[in-house]
This record gives sequence, structure tokens and C-alpha cells, in this order.
Amino acid sequence: MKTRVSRSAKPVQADSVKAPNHPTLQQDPVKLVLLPQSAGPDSRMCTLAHPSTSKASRYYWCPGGGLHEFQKVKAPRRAYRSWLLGPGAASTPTGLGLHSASQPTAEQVNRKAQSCVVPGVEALRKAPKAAPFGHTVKEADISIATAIDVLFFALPPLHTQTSNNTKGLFLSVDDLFDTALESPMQLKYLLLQDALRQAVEKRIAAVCDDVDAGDEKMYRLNMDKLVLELVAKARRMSSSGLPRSMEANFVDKALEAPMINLEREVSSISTAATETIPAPSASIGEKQLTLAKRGSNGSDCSFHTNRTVPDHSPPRNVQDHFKDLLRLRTALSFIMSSYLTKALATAIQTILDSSSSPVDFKPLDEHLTYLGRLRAEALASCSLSNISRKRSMVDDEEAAEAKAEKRRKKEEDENRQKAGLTRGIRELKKVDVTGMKKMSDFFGRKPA
Amino acid sequence: MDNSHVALVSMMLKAESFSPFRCDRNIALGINLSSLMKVLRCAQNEDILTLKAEDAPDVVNLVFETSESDRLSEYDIKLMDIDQEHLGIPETEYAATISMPSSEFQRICRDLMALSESVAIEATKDGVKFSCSGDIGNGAVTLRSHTNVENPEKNIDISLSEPVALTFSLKYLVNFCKASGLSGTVKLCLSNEVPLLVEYTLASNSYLRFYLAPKIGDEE
Repeated sequence: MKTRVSRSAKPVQADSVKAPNHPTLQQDPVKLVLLPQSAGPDSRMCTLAHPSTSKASRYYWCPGGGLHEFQKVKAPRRAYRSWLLGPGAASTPTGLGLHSASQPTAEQVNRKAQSCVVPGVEALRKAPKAAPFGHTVKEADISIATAIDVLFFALPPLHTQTSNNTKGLFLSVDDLFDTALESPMQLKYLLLQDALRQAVEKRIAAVCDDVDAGDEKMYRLNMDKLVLELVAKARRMSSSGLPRSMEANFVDKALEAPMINLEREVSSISTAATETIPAPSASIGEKQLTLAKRGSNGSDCSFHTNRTVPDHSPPRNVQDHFKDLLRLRTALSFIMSSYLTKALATAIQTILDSSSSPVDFKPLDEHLTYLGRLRAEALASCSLSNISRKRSMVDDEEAAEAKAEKRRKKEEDENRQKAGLTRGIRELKKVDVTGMKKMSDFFGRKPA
Repeated sequence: MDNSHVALVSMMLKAESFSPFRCDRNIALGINLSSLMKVLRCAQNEDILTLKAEDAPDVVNLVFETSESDRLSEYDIKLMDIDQEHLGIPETEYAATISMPSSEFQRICRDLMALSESVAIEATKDGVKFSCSGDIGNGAVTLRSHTNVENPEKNIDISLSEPVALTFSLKYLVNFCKASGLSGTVKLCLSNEVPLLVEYTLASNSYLRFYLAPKIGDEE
């Protein structure tokens, strides 16, 4: 991204000084925003419907760089508390935003101060026209404008149009946004700008069937094209590696084989045989797995774990293939969940699941189910070995309590009885008295 | 009676044993034996014991006096309701009565106890035979009438109106023998189908009597 920094105040339309009747604006904290390098005097902040949630959200449009969304980077909890924007060397003014029309008051000049900063360094150098003193920003969060494909904004209206009419009407770009967008959203007005309009049309054309209608082009959403486009996006995203947390959570974790004290005996396949198997699905199918519960001897277990697990896990190239597939799928689902409406996402998921999908995820699915089964087996064997010592939480808490209560009572009783008994009496209890009549059989009741 | 109601203890301390003795009317005092034991342990050998109870008492009072040191200790034991049946024990004419040194009886019981849980006592005109058989083998001790002129306590006297053979639990008998310290002689009285009476005669006509039901059915 960019090294340019503009502290463009978020309340763009309003200058706080001029609109004192707007109480929230006064309190609205100044925000630090990293803008793209392509930001110029024609760049605008704008409010658009979020492509997935259709909530009004802020975007940044610059003619040279396209549409940008803002990604908020939360400040680390403890490290940096606030920003200090200090006076410094001049740089080209950028990031004028929509508020450039308003008369710059002293404060606004201050706010519009343009500075150059290396990300992560807190001191900012101010533009010369700014006030000569520094400025602090209380919140250490930073928003970064990152490029977003305008296609995503066109998709909800496109999709609703085609899904509403089963035949699938062809629509012009103007019709598309006229009907779809409500007034507070500014895409319609932005479309008056040629640059944006061209960009939108170009992107729409990539996912639509089109027909010429006089001097205008009409479009209809083509799902297959859209899927191809999304897959290409996902490929691009995963090819350079996913973000680390995503990779760890969704890829590494999902593909992790359970490390347990199980011996996996691959009966029919030697290591050499596994290497020659071409498709990953084939290797899964042929794997004969038997679980052998090891004895309680700990060293024995660890020995088997060390030796057998690496031996019989799928070969490296197959694993890499799975990894790539899973990365691709993770990227796809990320795109779908963040930028597509739910209806559209489901429609695309169906296509991806069907046989006409441009990417075949089937081997991956099979591998994942296989891993799931392994995990379940591991879990089962774990609980099996502990079954004698552990009770399931569900049914027994009350029963155990009752039992404990009973035992306590019994012990108390015993103790009380023991306290009243001498050793001789206790020992006599063990005597075998079979065949002995009771005293009362011999001696009658004493007359009172 | 013991918990299984197969044995019974009866101890009689005649008024002559006490000095002074005063009892205005008959009264039954239910005393927990282990409580009594705890209190009695507070006494010393030569102490003078006084037992006291009021009319309609809820405690029995024990006083220990040590004459030589003028020590006086006093204890109250809470009484308990004994809802046990008070069995009337009739004076019985027994078919066989054997008196012998209590140490001799104790020895026989202890020796036979090593072999078995029960002992068969057969009294005939020849003598009395204590026999038992157990896992490791069997054993028998036979006693005959015997008169020791020098030491009449060592006499063994058997009087018999008809032969008797009965089996008893040795564990109970061994417990009875713990009273051997109270008396030099013990008297065994047997009749068929009737509890064995083991009597330790105490000074001044007092006695300690144990009754034990015979084992019927698995006599060998």
C-alpha cells in the first residue's frame, strides 16, 4: 500500500465548526487514514451499500486507483495508545475528500494536514500550510484504504435482477443501478463520473452476457462466468499465501492428522506404492487402516507414534495438493462471506459443489472426511482406554452426587455403630451362628 | 445378649458384696457397656467404688475414692432405655455339670480354637471330651474326674445324670473365658437341647453366668 497519510476526518460532509448544532460531530474523534498513492484532488469519500450486508459504509474513490474500502487496523492493546502528528516537511496534498469544498477554518486546516509517514512511525510530518503545532489523535487505530473490485457493488443489483426474472432480462447499467439503489447510496451519482462508470461496465462485462441495444450495451448475469471470476480472484489470493492466521486456522488445522498412540498399519501399500499413486483420491481409497490400541506402556506408545505416523501419511506432493485446494477454498469462502450477499453466495456454492465446478474439490472433501474419521477414531480409542475411570458427564453428575451422599451416610452410620461397639462384639459379628437358636427360644419372657 | 441373640450374660452381685448396700425398690438401670467401661477405666485397682442412682434416674453416679491419697473422682453416666426383652431364666436341672479350674477351660478353648470354630462337648460317665475338627485336622481333649487334695481349686468334678453331647461356637466360649481372672473355678452345665451354662462363682454367693445356644444340625 501507500506511505501517504491523510488524516481525513470521517465527518466529511460536515465541518464541525460550521455545524455546531451537530453534536456528534464535535465528539467524533479524528481518525487516521492511510490513503492510496493514487489519491488526487478528484478523489472522494463516498457512502455505498456494503455488497454483502447492504449497510451504508464508507468507501474511497480515486479516479486513478479505483474504489477502495477501509480496513480498520486495531491498535495493539498495550503498545500504542495514541498518535502524535507533528509538523514536518511538506508533501503533495492528497486526500481532500468530500470536505474539500468547505472553507478551511483553522481547525480544518489542521485536520487536512498532509503528511508523509513510514507506517509504524508515530511522528508525522505536517504540510507547510498546516498549523505549526502538532496534533494528537486519541485513538491509535488506523484505517487503511485497500482496493476493492467495483464488481462487488454491481453484483447485488445484477443478481436480484436475474433471480427475480426467471428468463433473465438484459439491463443497461443505468437501469441496473437506478432500480436497485436507494437514494442515500451514492453509487448512482458516482456513476456520473466517466472513470468509475467505465470501470463498472468493464467489470460487469466480465461476468455477464451482453447484447448491443443501439448505442448502449445491455447485461445479464452469467453465473458460470461469475464463478470463474471468483475462482480467479481466490487463486490470486491464495497463490501468494494466505494471511498467517487464516492459514493456521483453516488450512493447517484442518489437514492435521491426529497424533495419537495408534498404529496405522497400511496393509497393502508400501511406501513405494504410495508414491506411484497418481491421484490423491486413489491413495485414500486404497488405504487400509487398522487401529491397534497400544498397551498402557507409555514408551511403547510414543515409539509407535514416532515411527508409524510419518511413514504412512500421504506423500508430500499429495499433501501439498490438498493444501493448495484448501487454501483456494478458504479464499473463496472468505470472498463469498465478506463481499457477496447470502443468496448469491448460496447460488455460487451450489455451482461449486456441482460437477460443473471449474475446480474439483472432491478429493479434498474425501481427504477431509477421512481425516475426520481418523480423528473420531482417535477420540473413540482415547475414551475407550479411559472408560473404566471416567464417567460421562451427562447422566452421572446427579447419580454420583446421590451415591456420594449415600456413602457418606453409610459411613456415618458405621462410625456411630462402631463407636458403640467394643472389639469383642465386633469380632463376634463374624462368628458363624448357623444352627444356633436364639436365647428367647429357650428362656421365656420374664414376667413383669 | 449379644447382637445375634445366641449368647447371654448374667451377673449377680449379691447385696453382701457391697458395704453399705441400700436399695429402696427394684430398679432397672440401662447402662451402655462401652460407656461404663470408659468410666471404669478412670478407676484404680484399690479404689473404693460407690454406685448411686436416684429414684427415676437419668444418670448413674460412680464415685472412686482413693483412700491413701484422699482422691475422689466422680462420674455420671447417662442412662439409656433398654428395650430389649428381659428374659426370665429358670433354674434348670442340668444333665451334666462339670466344674474345673477356669484356667483349664480357657486353655482347652484356646487350643481347640486353633483348629476349628466349634467344639463338641461330650459328657459320659468316663469323662468329658472336648473335640473339634477343622481344615488342618482334628483334636480332642478329654478330662476325667480328678481330686487334688492339696489344692481343691484344681479339682475336676463331673456329675452326670445322663450322657450329653452338644456342639458350641468356640469363639463365644473363648470370650467367656476372659472372665477366668474373676474366679479360679468354672462350672459348665449341659443338657441336651438347652443352652450351655458357663458359671464363674464370685465371692459371697455372687456369680457371673454365660449362656450359649448349642449348634444344632451340623453335629458330627
